[in-house]
Formats: sequence, C-alpha cells, structure tokens
Amino acid sequence: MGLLEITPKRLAFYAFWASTNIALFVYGFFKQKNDPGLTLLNSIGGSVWSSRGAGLAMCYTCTCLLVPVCRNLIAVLRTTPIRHIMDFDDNIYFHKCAAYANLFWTMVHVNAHYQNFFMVELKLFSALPFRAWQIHYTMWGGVTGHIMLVIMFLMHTSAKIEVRRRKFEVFWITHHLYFFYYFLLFFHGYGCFVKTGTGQCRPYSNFFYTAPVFVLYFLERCLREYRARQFTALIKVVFHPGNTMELQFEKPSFKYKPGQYLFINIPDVSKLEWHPFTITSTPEEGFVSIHIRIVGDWTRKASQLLGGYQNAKVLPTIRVDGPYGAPAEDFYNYSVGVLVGAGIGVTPSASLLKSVWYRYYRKAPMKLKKVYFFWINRDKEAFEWFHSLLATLEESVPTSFLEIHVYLTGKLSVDDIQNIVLNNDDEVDPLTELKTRCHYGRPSWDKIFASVGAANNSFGASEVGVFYCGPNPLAETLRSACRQAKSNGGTKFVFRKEKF
Amino acid sequence: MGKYQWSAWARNQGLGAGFFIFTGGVISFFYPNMIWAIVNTVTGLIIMGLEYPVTPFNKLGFLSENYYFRAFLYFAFIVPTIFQAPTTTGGMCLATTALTYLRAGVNGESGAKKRVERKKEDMSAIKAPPQ
Repeated sequence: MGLLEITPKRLAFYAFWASTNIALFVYGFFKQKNDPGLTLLNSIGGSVWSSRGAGLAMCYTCTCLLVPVCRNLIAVLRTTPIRHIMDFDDNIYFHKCAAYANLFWTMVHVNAHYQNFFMVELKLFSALPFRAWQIHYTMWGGVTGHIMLVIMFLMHTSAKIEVRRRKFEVFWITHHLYFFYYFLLFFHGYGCFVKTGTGQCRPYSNFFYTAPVFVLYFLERCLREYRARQFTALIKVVFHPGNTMELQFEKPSFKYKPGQYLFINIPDVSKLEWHPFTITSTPEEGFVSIHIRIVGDWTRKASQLLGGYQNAKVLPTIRVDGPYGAPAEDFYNYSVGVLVGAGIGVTPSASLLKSVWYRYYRKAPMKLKKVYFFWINRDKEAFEWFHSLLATLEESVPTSFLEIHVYLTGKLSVDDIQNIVLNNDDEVDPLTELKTRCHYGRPSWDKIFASVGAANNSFGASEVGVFYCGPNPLAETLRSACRQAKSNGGTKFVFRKEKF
Repeated sequence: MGKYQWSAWARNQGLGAGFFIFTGGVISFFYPNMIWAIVNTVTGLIIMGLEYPVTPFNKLGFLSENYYFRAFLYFAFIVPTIFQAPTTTGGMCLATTALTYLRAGVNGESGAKKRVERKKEDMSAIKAPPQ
C-alpha cells in the first residue's frame, strides 16, 4: 500500500481528492473576491482571497479527517455495495491524505494571514484601527488559530512511524488533542472579523460541516466504550514457545465472522491502551481466542501479569472492542483461495482454516473449492502455535481441497540440522510433526502461482483470492507476483493484505 | 525493543519548528525591521540542518551530539522569533522541541553513534582439515 503504487483506482482517488480540494479553494477565493460588501478587506489583495480559499478547503479536510476513523461505521459500510468503489481496507491511508492536505492548506492559510494582518495595520488603519499583534493575539481567530497550530504540530510530529512504533502512548495521548483542536475550530470565526461595511457577518462557518462529523465520531467512541463494557471474561491463557501467548475469553454479546479482528484492553497493564489482534477462533468454537506475539512494552507487561496467575481461580479483567472487519472476511467469496501467513501473521489464516474445517465437516455448501495455505516462519518454535489445528486438518480434509505448505526461512544451527537428518525416515516431518514436508528457504511465488493458475483450469474460477498477513516486504513480493501471474496466465490473482 | 527514546519525536518537532521559523523568516522580509527576517531565516536553516542532519552539522562533535546543548541552543533561538508575528508560532513549536530534547538529555540519550564492538574470534577451536 505504498505511496508509489499506482493502480487505476488509486489514480482515480488522487484525481478526485486533488480536484475537490482545488475546486473548494478556488470557490472560496472568488467568493471572497467578488463579494461586494467586503471591498474594504479585499483591497489588501491576493492574500485575503487565498486565506479564505484555503480556509474553505480546510473545512473540507477537517471534516474528512474524522470520518475514516469511525471504525464501527466502516465495519458496517464494508458489507454494503459501496465497498466496490471505496477501499475500506485503506481507511487510515485516507486519514493521512486528509491530514497532509490539511497541513498544506494550513501553510497557505497561515502565511496568507500573516500578510493580511500586517496589511490591515499598514493600509486600513483608519477604517479598522487594529494593530497586527492585536489581531493575532487578542481576537478569536488569532488566538484559536495559534493554539490550533501548536496542537497540529504536536499531533503531526508524534504520528510519524518512528515515534508511533517506539512508544504508542506518546502518539495516542498527543493525538487525543484533536478534541481541543475541533473545539477551537468551532470558535475560530466567532469574533466575526470578516464583516461588511454595514456590520453583516461573512464567515465560512466551518461548524456546519465539522460539528456533525465531530458528533458522529463522539458517538462512535461512546459505542466503543459501551460494547467494551459488556460482559467479558478471560477463561484461559496459554503460553506457546516462540514468545507467543494465547488468550481465550467468553463474551456472549460478541458476534463475529472468521478473519475479523478486535481491540483488547487490560486495565491492570495499562488503563488507556487498546491494541488490535486478529481473532484466531471461529464462532463454532464457543469462545474467542487471540494469539499475541510478545514484542513490545504492552505485550511484555501483559505476559508478566498473566504469567503470575498460575493457579488462580479468577483471571484479571479484560475489555474487548469489536469485531472489526478485515480483508480476510471476504475469503468465502472466492472459489479458489490462497492464504499466506508470515510468522504471527498466520492468525487470520488460522481462524479461516478452522472455519473451513467446520464447514467441510458439516458438508455445508460453499463457493470455495480449493484452498492453498502457506505458512512462512523464521523460527521453528512458531510451528507449535497451531500444530494441533494443522495436524487435524491433514487428517480430516483431503489434499484435493486443502493443500498445506510450510516454509522455514531462518538459519538452522548444526544441532538442528543433525536432528532433522537423523529423524528423516519417520512418517511425519521432524520439524513440524505434520505429514507435509517442511520446505527450507523462501518460497518461489512465481512458480507457486503458475501451478495454482494451471490447477485452476479444472475449477474454472475467474479470480483467485490471495490473502496475506505479515511484514511489508513480503507483501510487496506477493503483490508483484500476483501482477506477474495475471499477465502470464489468464486467471486474475486478487491480492488482499491485512494491516500488520 | 529498547528503552523509550524521546529523540525520535524531538527530531520530528525540530524539523517542523525549523521549517516554520524559516518560512516565517522569509515572510518577514516584507515587514519592517529586516534584521529579524535575516536572523530567523538563518536560525531556521540551522535548526533544519542540525536535525536532518546535513553534512556540516553532523561532524561538530559535542555541538551536534549533546542533547542538553541542543535544548539550550533552541531555547536561545526562541528569542529572535518573538519580534515578528510570522515567526512566533515557530517559536512556540521550538519551545516544545527544546523541552523534548531536554527530556531526552535527562533520559541519557545522545546523538553519538554507537560503536559496535567486534569480539575477537577464538580461532583455537577450529582445527585444520586432515591433510
């Protein structure tokens, strides 16, 4: 989902975004310029018109900023036909586009205003007896504007990935300054500096657009809190090798589909932090499970806390928000599906495979005719996480329906290699204990997709869905392999990537 | 992951504040008292150069590596921004930057590149192959 990945849909989006922004700027510009009642202010010239035009464009960008982060709204819209026009997987990307557009217009608006206020003092002093510093620091527009600028500065600088990845709390708490930002925005035009000679106010009242969206987002947050407070009980914690733990909990009000994700909050670890994890269970199982890889501050503290409850009767409270949609929930729409998981990115695949198994077992009718599963790991310990699931699948589901391929890409020590060689005659693979042989090294995607495409001839599917979850570099490899496969064969490989 | 480092955020803030002061300085050329325009444009460039970092600025030893020095330098750079309206916002942002660098300094961080220690390999265990 890089910036430079140009697809027709992306291009159409950029064209739409740029044209709406510029159109609003131009409209605001000329509305000010051609307003007969504002000739006094307009005598200053281009900077007044630019500041007003940019202001109107900013009404638009500030409204657009809040919409993509309404997760529940997105989860609902994802199931409607609108998803064919708008790609809801990239909602945060749109949020960033709106943020950068807002930043650009801010630069235009603010610098134009510096020019304006100076000119008011210089040229219009007899009519508007204000010194520039008074407009800047004593009037509603100036005061709210300056504070908003500092807030924007803090929000933007803490949102860059270098800061976000290192300490999420800094980003999270700073970003919540949006609350003050929007309040200041509502009052930005309050003092009514822009008025006609007869005292009639001419604001570009942003609150017509930003206030409803703000209320929408506020309701979204309320909904999240409400759902989180529904009964949730942690029933089991399992520590797996490979630095991973599994949490199982019950939540009757939680209705989900395989492949979706949730947000979890453990108040004893951190009152404010909510972290997303893919759900690894299926609804048929009766409980909800997630697999968490222990990597950063929060996960480490959580594992220490939960590890201390060895024989306790009651486990700590947790709060769960969700479920939220993810690309994986579209898996059943395809007749041939390829699931690729790298490391802990296997979690959506695990949920889907469990669900596929239940349906196959029940002989439920489904569009899906063939599933390919690829699990790529660097460390051999990781295979333990879903060993029993894969072993069961091998037993009960024929390879004509489900093919399991496992790859180990990490370096092996001399002991490991000797062990593998010694045990190589057994029926099961020495490393994974599955019937399928483990491959060593990275998969060759071109060959794999070529054979999937060839095999597809008997299924006659027009599209093969490739669902990937894991680190970005492999995503790029897969994406280009999908494109390559399409141009070589006839089948279209649709690439869907989860947020990792 | 290692202990939290404030320097990443401080760097982003420095780049932003430096940019604001620079553009504010450029606009101030159209205001009276051109001295402030010149001073602020120059300080804006210095700040951006220190943060990115651009070549002359990363070779100054203590001056480019020590975060306490940088915090106090930035506090000093805030002073010329107060005299002209376009640069005051940059000044406010530079204040938060300087505070963040001070926090980084207190946290024990510095801009010095870490020296990677290479262990001398123990060659005695490796036997020559049979002749």
